[in-house]
Amino acid sequence: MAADEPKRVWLTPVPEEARAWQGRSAGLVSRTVASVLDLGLVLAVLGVGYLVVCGAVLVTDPVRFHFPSAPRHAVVGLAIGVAILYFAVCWRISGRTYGDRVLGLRVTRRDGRSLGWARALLRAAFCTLFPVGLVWVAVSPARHSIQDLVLRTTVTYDWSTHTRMARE
Amino acid sequence: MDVVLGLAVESVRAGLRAGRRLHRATRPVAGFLLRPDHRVGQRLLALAETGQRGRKVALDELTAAYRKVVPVVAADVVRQLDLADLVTEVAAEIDLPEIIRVSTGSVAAETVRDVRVQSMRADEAVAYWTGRVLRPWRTG
Repeated sequence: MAADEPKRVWLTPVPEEARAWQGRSAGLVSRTVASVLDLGLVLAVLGVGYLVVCGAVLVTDPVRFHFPSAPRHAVVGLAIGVAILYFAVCWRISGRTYGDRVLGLRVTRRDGRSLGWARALLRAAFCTLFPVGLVWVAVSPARHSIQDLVLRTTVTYDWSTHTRMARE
Repeated sequence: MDVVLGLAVESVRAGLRAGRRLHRATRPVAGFLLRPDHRVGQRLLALAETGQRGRKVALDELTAAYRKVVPVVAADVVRQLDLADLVTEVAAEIDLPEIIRVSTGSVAAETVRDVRVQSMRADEAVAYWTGRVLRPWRTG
């Protein structure tokens, strides 16, 4: 910083011991835990949706009610669709899914800008259909997954609550 | 030390004695000069009244000038001060967000914080060991 530049002080809600980590690339464990939380959320949404359908069937025809069933590939397809939609919308709007929010992570482009719709959708599809790509985080010195390398994105620690990138 | 104190006490006593003598000596003259029916006394009283009036006028003018100048100076000082920056610096110096967080943090927030910190440490451990395995020639 030049001597004549005014001194800038940033107020941050981030606890003192975590401030040094902010903006650094997140590692395998944090990202895996976040993904597991997101997977749980998607499954919960599907379960709630199934219960809603059951309730609707019960209300319309209570006498001949039985739990509706669907072909396995249809259920899997629906789950994948819901997951892709969920990831894409979250990453486009706030850069973080529920799991990312709990773990204090944020998904951005390499230059720190938020993802556009196309990139968010591609990343969501790539992460959902090829989750093993996350393992590359452990190998990559820059902690990039396969998805990050292909789509030029990054996942950083960001405990701040605002939508802008945290600064140290 | 005692000698100095004794000297000081004697000096004060001598001064008081001299003052009393001077007062006794000048009392008749002062009483004569300041009698209201005496011409010199009247002159002196008139002079005193003029001085009093002048003092009052000067005091009023000074007060008026003070009341005009002070708000302008104060406004200029406040304008030149970057209060927002000052407040921000003070809040950062005392780490106000940390104080608020500690005083208002819930158990759930503390749990989330612990999970985050533990995950970050686990990330570091994983990165360290994979680095040792994959890039053993690198040190540090």
